Amino acid sequence: MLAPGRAGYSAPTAGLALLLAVTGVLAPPVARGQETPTAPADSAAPADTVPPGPVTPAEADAIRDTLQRPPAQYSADWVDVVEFPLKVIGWPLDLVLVRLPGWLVGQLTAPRPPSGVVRAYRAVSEWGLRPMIRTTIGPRSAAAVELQFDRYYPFYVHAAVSRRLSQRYRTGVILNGRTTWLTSEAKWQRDAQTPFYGIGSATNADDRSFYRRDWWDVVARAGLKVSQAFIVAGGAAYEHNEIDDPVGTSSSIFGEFRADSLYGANETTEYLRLEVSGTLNLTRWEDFQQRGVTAGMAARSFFGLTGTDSNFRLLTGFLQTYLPVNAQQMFAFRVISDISRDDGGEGVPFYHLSGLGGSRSALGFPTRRFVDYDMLSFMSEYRFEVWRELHSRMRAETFLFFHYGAVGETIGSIEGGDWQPSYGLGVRLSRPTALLGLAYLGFSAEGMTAGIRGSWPF
Amino acid sequence: MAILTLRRGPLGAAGFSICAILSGCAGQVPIPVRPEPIAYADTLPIEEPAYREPLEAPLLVRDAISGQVAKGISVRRLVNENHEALNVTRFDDVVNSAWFEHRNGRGRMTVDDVFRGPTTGMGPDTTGSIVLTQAKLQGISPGFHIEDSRGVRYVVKFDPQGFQYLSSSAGVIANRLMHAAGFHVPEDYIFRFRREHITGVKEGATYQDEDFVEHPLGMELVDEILARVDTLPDGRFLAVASQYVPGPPLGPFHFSGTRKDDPNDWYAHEHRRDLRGLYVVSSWVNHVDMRFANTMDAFVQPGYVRHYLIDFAASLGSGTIRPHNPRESAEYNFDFWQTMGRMFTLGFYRQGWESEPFAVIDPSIGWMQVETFDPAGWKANWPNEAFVNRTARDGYWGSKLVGSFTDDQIRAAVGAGELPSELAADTLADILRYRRDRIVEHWYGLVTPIENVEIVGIGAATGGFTLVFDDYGIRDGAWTADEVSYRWKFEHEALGRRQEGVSDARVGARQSLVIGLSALQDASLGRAESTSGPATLAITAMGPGDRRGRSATVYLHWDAEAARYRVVGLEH
Repeated sequence: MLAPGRAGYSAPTAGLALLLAVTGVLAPPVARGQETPTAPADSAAPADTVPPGPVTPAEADAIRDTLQRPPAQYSADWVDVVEFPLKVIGWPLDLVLVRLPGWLVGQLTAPRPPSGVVRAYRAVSEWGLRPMIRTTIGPRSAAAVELQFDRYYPFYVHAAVSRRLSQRYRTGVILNGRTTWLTSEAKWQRDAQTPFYGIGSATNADDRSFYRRDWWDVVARAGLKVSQAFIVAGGAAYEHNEIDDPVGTSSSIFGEFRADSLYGANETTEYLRLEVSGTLNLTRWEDFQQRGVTAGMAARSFFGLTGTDSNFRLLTGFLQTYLPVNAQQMFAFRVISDISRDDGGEGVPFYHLSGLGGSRSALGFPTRRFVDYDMLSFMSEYRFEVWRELHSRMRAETFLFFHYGAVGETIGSIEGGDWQPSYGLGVRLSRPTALLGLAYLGFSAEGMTAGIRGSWPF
Repeated sequence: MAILTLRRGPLGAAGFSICAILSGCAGQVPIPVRPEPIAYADTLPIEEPAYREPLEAPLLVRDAISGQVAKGISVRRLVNENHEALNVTRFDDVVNSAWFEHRNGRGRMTVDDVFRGPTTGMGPDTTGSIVLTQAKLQGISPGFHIEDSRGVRYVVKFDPQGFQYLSSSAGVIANRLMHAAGFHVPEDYIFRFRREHITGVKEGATYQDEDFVEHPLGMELVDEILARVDTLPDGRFLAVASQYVPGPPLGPFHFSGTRKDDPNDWYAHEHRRDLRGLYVVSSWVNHVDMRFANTMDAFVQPGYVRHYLIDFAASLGSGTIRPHNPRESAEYNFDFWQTMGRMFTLGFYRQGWESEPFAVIDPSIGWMQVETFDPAGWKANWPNEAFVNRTARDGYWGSKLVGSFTDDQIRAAVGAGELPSELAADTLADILRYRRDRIVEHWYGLVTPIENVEIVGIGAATGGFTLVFDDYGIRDGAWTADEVSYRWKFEHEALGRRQEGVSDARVGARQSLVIGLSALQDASLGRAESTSGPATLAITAMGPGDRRGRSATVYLHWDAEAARYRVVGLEH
């Protein structure tokens, strides 16, 4: 059989091959210690060797064309026909789910000189101006572009803008010691699209509307690391709040709700805020798993200033623990509660009420899906390893979660029907001692949530 | 697939003439055989291809996910219609090529030859000046490139701290074994040297920092690297020095497809017997890092691409920067189906290796499976198409290479690693012998491992004959003669002959079967059918115990004029 897929045979090339063969000018390189394979003595098989002698690449092309060899590749058979529909389905999936990500991974991990963008980023970072993309501005902000200027550390200036035009600007000073720190900061923030569904546990998801909260504060905080595990902090602040129509949507709480029934919606409020908090962290990372217990409590008291006739307190407490079953499987539990208490006047502005929803308390619901004075949530996760990098530098876990939370006027008043279950699953990617990020799907009676995050509350 | 088909093609008389010249078959009627691979056909001169080094990550992702999924749902696999390798001879072997050369597998090498392997000297010449040519700051283990006074260049790499000899010895030992098995490898040496032996930096030599900015190479880089390396008791440093392969490097080769700019690269790599069989040799030496990045094409004289396996630091008990652990060789770095298994069983699915006790055998050896070694289940860190496509015949071919090593040859190869103690060397040799035996047991057990088939004692009147062959199962200790018998079935449809029988094995690896045939009813038929389809003799080795490997099929051609059969092929 003439070699398939190559240039066709012609008499001159065959003649050349014959000539070369006859005159013995094809020379195979002789390898040390090798044998030229031959068939058994009584075999009629031809000797499987190319005749010796030097030859040019061009002549070799002609010789190659005359070589009779097995085919280079299999031709299609009935199995290929049967598999064809699978390949038709699989091809786009392969392209989108494997080859494209693979190509991206390749591009991102390729050893190559840093691009101009990367070099510019490094240069400005080293100079003291650090751009980044994070998700740290209020509800529905999604990813925000942030810019931090700290060339003249401990002074800093920070600006952030989200896709929905939430904004934050901060400036201040950070004085860090070995066991103490002191910060002072002035901040202006716009939460452009904060959702609101009404107050209480019986609200309807279809009633969602939005408001804009512009607020600024000036705060001074001090912290003390009492021990490796125990940290206390306290501070005082001036806080100023204004509520208005949301940015980027016409669905406003001023159209959907009677705003005069929501304290804070029609009023500018100003507070003196006192804060104190303590965290006992007895957890540690060990081979990709957290172990131990951590608990914390934070209290904030708000005292109305000038025309604000409102005093209230917010108390937050949490307890979380990690229970490894073995090196691959573990449970994580968390209890969190927010308590708002009216200390006189008009009470708690609606935007400072306790909220249930989001990764902090109920992942199957959007952030602050339910609000009321008090919130209590029980969160549980079962995490298990599904993949570990060969050198144990990274691992992926799948997690299943079940969150069960409620809001009410008081925790004691929460009834059976107030509890909102949500559940879901996700994949976590972590390094041996830190979470790198995760993706999740959450489900509740009201639908599905999905997200990708770089951090996790527990 | 029938191994023998009529040779067809538009070559006509020219084709016949080539046959005549190459095989000496002039004047005979062409024998109906399929085209065979031609030895060194891929060493014909070509124009020098360009260096290429495509990104490995997309290939790894593709093979690890798409490749594994495709394998998992493969109809071909389900109905057992796997493609056999393409570059096999009619005797189920490969020919020498730019990929592979028969060494120990055919004509046993001396222990000295195994010990020397591919080396032609003693490694870097420390009697003269050695200059630094390049620093290897990237990669899992740092090192540098040097040039000795003879102008020979080497890549020098070191062991992880606390594990002196670990990767150096493993690299050299695996290098010797791979070479003796038949693969092309560079000249690797154990290199002991003092800091003073590195006398300077080659003029104009530079290195790239992590931003790929070129800097003049300085001796401080040597000091930086050596500061992270343990010294021998006499103050010298120990490393593996891998000599540059001859000719300009052209980048790594893939385990699938062909190299488009190499017209000699004929067979799709995933269908090459030598690459499929490499799986078995890799499993033997536990070369879990057998992948694209550890291969190298080089343009060698007189002008063709030779395909090298390079860098064996992650073989035997060495994981290059630490000893191996039970997971390696049991699971891919990203094992799609294992990952799915864990995901859908909520993490309760467990692989055997996850509960396997793990303790370093010796700091110079590291760790590798011994009793738990699974010749069929062994996995490289990343899947590749050639390994995934392997069949029992490919595995048997590879296991013949492994089985060809004698105890002494293994000990000689281990000796080349210059392990720090006799005990360590003997232990490692014992482990390799044990793994060799497990490999032979497994792969030989899947087939009927007969070789060197010949016809003797022809029955003049009937064409009956005695077939002699080597039972490699007996030769390589997978079973003994008293444990095995052979069931055979002879068929020659064209002549209406059909015969079967069972014969006990006799002492020794060389066995014989007497195939008694009745005389042809019509002698003229015998003459007329001399160009008809071949006769087949299916031989199944029965035992030991309930072992039932697939039959070996011997293809026979009826030579009417001589009134006898000739062996023309063998398929396992």
